[in-house]
Amino acid sequence: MSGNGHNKTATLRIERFNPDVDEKPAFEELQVELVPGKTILDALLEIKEEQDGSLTFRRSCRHGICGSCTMNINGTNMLACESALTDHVNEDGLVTVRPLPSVPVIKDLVTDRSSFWEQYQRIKPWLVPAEEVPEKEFRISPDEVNSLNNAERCIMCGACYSACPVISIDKGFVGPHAMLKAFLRVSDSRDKDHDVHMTDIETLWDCTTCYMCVEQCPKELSPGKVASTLRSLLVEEGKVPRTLGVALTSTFRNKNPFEMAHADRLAWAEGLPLQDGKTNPVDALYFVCCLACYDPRAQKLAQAMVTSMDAAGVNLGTLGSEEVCCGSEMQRIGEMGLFEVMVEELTESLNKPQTQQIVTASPHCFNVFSNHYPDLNLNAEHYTQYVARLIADGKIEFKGEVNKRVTYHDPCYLGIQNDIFDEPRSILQSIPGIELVEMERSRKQSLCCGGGGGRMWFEGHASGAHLSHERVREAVSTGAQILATACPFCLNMLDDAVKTLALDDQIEVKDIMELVVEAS
Amino acid sequence: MSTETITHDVIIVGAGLAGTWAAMTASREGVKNIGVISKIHPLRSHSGAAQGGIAAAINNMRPVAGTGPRGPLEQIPAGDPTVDSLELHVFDTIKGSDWLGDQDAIEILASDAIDIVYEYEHMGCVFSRTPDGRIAQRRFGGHSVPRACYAADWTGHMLLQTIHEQALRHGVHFYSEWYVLDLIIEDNICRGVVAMDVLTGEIHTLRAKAVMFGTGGYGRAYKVTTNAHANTGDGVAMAYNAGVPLMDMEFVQFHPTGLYRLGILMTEACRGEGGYLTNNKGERFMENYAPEKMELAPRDLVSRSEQIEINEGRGIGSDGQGIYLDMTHLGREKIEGRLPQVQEIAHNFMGLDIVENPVPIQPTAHYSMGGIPTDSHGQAIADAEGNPVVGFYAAGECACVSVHGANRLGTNSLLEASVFGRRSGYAIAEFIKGGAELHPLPVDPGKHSRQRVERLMDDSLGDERESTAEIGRELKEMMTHGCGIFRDEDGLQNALNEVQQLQERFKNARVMDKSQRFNTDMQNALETENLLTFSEVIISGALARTESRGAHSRTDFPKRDDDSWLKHTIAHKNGDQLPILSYKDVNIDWEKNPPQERKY
Ligand SMILES: Cc1cc2nc3c(=O)[nH]c(=O)nc-3n(C[C@H](O)[C@H](O)[C@H](O)COP(=O)(O)OP(=O)(O)OC[C@H]3O[C@@H](n4cnc5c(N)ncnc54)[C@H](O)[C@@H]3O)c2cc1C
Ligand code: SF4
Ligand code: SF4
Ligand code: FES
Repeated sequence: MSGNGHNKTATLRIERFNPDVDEKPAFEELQVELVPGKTILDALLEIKEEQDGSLTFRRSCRHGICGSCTMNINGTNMLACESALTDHVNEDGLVTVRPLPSVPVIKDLVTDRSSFWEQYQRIKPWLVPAEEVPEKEFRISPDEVNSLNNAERCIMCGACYSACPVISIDKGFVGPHAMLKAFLRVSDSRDKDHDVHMTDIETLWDCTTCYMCVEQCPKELSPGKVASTLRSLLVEEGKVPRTLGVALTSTFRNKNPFEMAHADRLAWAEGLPLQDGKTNPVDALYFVCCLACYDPRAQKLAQAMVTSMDAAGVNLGTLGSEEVCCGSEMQRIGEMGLFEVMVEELTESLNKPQTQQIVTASPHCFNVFSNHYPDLNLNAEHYTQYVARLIADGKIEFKGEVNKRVTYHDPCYLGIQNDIFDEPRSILQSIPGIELVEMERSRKQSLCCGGGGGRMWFEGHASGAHLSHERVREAVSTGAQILATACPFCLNMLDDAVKTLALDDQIEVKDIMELVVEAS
Repeated sequence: MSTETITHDVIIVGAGLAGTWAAMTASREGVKNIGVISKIHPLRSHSGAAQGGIAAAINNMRPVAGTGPRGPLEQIPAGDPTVDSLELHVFDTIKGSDWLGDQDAIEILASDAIDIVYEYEHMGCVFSRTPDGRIAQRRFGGHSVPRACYAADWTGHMLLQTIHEQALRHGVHFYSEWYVLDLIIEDNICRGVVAMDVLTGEIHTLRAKAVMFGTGGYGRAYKVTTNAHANTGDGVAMAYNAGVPLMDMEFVQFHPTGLYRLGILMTEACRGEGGYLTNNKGERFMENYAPEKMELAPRDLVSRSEQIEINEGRGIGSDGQGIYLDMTHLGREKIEGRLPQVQEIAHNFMGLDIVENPVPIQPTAHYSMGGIPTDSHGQAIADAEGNPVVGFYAAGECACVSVHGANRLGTNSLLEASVFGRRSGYAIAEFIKGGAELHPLPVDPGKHSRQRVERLMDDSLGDERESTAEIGRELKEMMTHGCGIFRDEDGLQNALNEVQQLQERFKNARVMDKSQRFNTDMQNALETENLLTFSEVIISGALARTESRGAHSRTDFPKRDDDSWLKHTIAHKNGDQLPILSYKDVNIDWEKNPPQERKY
């Protein structure tokens, strides 16, 4: 707070719009005194009372429980009443305040949340009470209550909903808040008709499990994370979209979701200096994503990794024929039984080799090893972490240059879900010639490519406006010639989008590893 | 601003616990054409901000034997003797009310309590639990045993979600973000309301056979308050303007622990769980005021004790206007398990971790004991004799049954809103099914509302115009000093003069926002006008009542005076003049619960 000691005024850059009189939204800058303890809501109230009574926003409780005052502050949705001005102004004392994105504006910071409430109603949010009730209360253990509590604490503020990438393109999507409410009901033994909440919920297959909703929930709830639990209920009943069913069956039979032969898994590495990590002592075990194994475009990033590690003197190995799908996407699709078997088998294989280090090609494998493999005895890292360290230690040297303007797309499983934002950027910045520019939505505010949570195998209900298309357009608008990323899924999605949009003459999608090799 | 008439069997204004219970119940009883109007989205109603708990003598918890009044609690094993009873809940409430509560209504409150808490539970409310899975309970001020059923410290939020969802299940229709301006009563028969659709700014007349108000409290008449921005007492002002009297308005509760300067509530559960109050010398000063109950004495007493400490120079903070609430001895586990929201609030607004630091607090306007007088079925009454206003009902904080009398006990108001909301629902259903009719509307029913709006919009005054916000600020300042925790004749007389001047000035007040769409400037102005309307009633009642009772504390009349003042104040509007005051007897069971000295 004292860092801004000399800065006695704060400037609120507020997006104003009254559709009755204004042609389009416009920013207005308004000043208030900057004192510790003043919240953004306090500042807005002060402006309304003293400067401009027409400034319009919702508020009531002013302590973060009624959910009225959600707005977008410096790009992130939050409750204005809980957000201290001093925490959000930049060095110049400026803070940007906008209405919630993805929903229509009624006036200034007031948005039309009707689609939000429609989705809430659609899952029949009420508990269906028992016909016969006990004389007193139903017995419920404190533990059971704790798990329900988390969902019932939702204040319906809409921060998650408006931040959700799927909602941004399709208001027919059930949305994180409604999934959370449905989860609450189906987890409650007092609810006598779980089906009521699950009959009209099939759009939950559209969720990309990016967890942007989790990131932006001001009450620190986990709305998007319940998608897998709800899906698992549908899976149990066999209510799975056909193409997802194919991926699940293939994973069971072929140990990859792409219906490819397990025997061909290492075909991409033919002729490359790659050890069998099970039998040879290696510096690191390279765990290659199914997509990077079989997809011709994604294979290039795996090949680049091997080439680069060889040059850096790193002795890289794989699990060979024991490498199978990590199960990340099966878990997110809600095939929990299959997932548990996969975890058990793969944990055993992974614990065998001598090395303590796994490096993954994909953020998805990295995430699942780090967070959902309880008995894994190795240190799992995403390759960007490993490579950034090699560069810092001088093990990778660049002889060439990449004289391009590059922008970086944060994969959700790496960024939002695991807070790895700096390593990929530090690699790009260390490559001679690269001019790194940021998209408007980056780091914690990044836009999902649309490929996670099973969406790789499922078109979804959202037609036309694909997230990856929007992402590519955003990248193009920065003037970047290269859209870099660090995930086989993102690579695949974004690359397809560039082709579909016929923007190949303007921008090229590359994995960071490919750029490293280019400059080596 | 067109005037289009909408018709319902029943219109309920307010979607907090009281209004929503009434709607859900009436709908469940078969009344299908119900419209519930709320100026904010129903789930944003202030009931959701309640933290601490809801009282019911369900006998799930007891103090551990031999540990004293502040010791730990445990579940009551099956078969063991109970600690609580209806009689005890009734007695605590009567004593808390300083014998101004109506004892017949209090008995209903206590006995319906048990049933309504179980009904909440059966409808899915996520209560905290005892180890063996029953609803957990904690201590609260003025209750002699652990009686507060709770859901961590977001009890109100859980209750509101539960009842709102059940109302949706029963097909209740909500008008969200509609602002009611006027209640239409003619010849003592209620005919409907006039409301503005906030989105479009259009004014509509809504006709109904029955209207019920669950419009909440009026704590926003004070500068430092725990109340949400929405708690502007619109309902009481509208009823008063329509000729319905207001009862016991002078009784305004100050909560002992609002955050210093901000007023945001630190629930009484902080003290229920064992928190201390200390002055600038580090003394637990409640020793001197309520040696037995200490920090868990009732709110009026604790707030007054704090104010005396402050007035005598033992306050904390830069201006000496604060007191410390110290929970540092409770330990992290208890705080994170039972008071998570309090911890979050102190962190967000004060930058303090309550596990490690005491929190600066101050006595803060919190609860409105007074309101629209009703019988125990929510039926509004027209006079001291108890004659009904046909077709008009009220429940919750805007109503005065009266179960709280001169001072409400914590956790009794979520209960009141629920119990009397539900009872109103039953009564309304019976009224409708008994053949209630739509009565003709007066000529141009929206006229008064339209005039209010048009005047506030009018441009002719130029720079001569007054700022609505400024008038509101001055009013709140004045109410805090002139009609706050301690009152006396001079102060009240000044306050009365000032409020009349402010009312006069308000005639020249104009809004800055001249647009139709979602005009919150207009809404704030209308709310300020309402504050001015009923503040006059609060002050008039306080000035007339020459005694000290519960939350009404006159330094010039420091004693309770049962001979002259064991009665309810009834205030009727009298044109532009001060209200006409009359008095109504308190319902007392002289055998069972005769007035006693109130000591803690
Ligand atoms: C911070 C805080 C904590 C509390 N904690 C507790 C506790 O732990 N236990 C307890 O028992 N009590 C507690 N209380 C008191 C209790 O919460 C309230 O008394 C109770 O919730 C009131 O409920 P209600 O239904 O009467 O009104 P509210 O919940 O306030 O609802 C009022 C409704 O009326 C509507 N409304 C008002 N005016 C208009 C208008 N002009 N047009 C249209 N709609 C209108 C509003 O939109 C809203 O829907 C607490 C109070 C506060 C301030
Ligand atoms: S995980 Fe992503 S796609 Fe799914 S609901 Fe949350 S924000 Fe939306
Ligand atoms: S889940 Fe969180 S962000 Fe979403 S509506 Fe609920 S409280 Fe708000
Ligand atoms: S005003 Fe209620 S959450 Fe901000």
